[in-house]
Amino acid sequence: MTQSQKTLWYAVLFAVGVVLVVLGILEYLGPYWSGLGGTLAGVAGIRLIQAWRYHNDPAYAKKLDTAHTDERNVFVANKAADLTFRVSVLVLAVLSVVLRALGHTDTASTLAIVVGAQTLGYFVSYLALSRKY
Amino acid sequence: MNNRIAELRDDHQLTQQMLADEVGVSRQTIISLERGKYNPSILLAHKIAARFGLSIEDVFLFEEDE
Repeated sequence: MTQSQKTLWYAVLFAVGVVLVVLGILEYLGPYWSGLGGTLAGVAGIRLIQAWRYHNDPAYAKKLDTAHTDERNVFVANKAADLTFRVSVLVLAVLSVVLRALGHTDTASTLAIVVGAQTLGYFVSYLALSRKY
Repeated sequence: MNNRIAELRDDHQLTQQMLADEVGVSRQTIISLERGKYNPSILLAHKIAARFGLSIEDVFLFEEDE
């Protein structure tokens, strides 16, 4: 995705977020949707500001380009994603067992399915990447 | 893995930022390399060694137990 395509995408997300917030304020939608809209508008707004700075500040653009391609930064980001995945699977699995013991069978089953799907997703990704590399 | 980056940088009168710009990484990466906290890819090791006109083995010091 090019920088201008990204900017367009974030502008669309920002607009959708603002519309959801406005519809929430006018009470056409519930707090769930206006909350989601607020989050969407906030994140997309920050990205739009970053995109604006990228186009107007060459020093910032260079810094951002280096940050995106810097191998240590990529290594750290991958490590963080790896750790987050491992911890979240473990937490969800433990939570599933605890909820099952407390009698919340439906929620426990849903969490167990999510853990299973994540684990399966990992193995499928592993097999696909093994063939690629 | 130890390395001689700080020493070579000093010899060539390069700042961490200058070396970082020349090999296309952030200054933080150079700092981590010099402190031995991060091991570079073979490509980055090659770029750094080439910048000083040396081979990878002259800059990065491998140890037996690694």
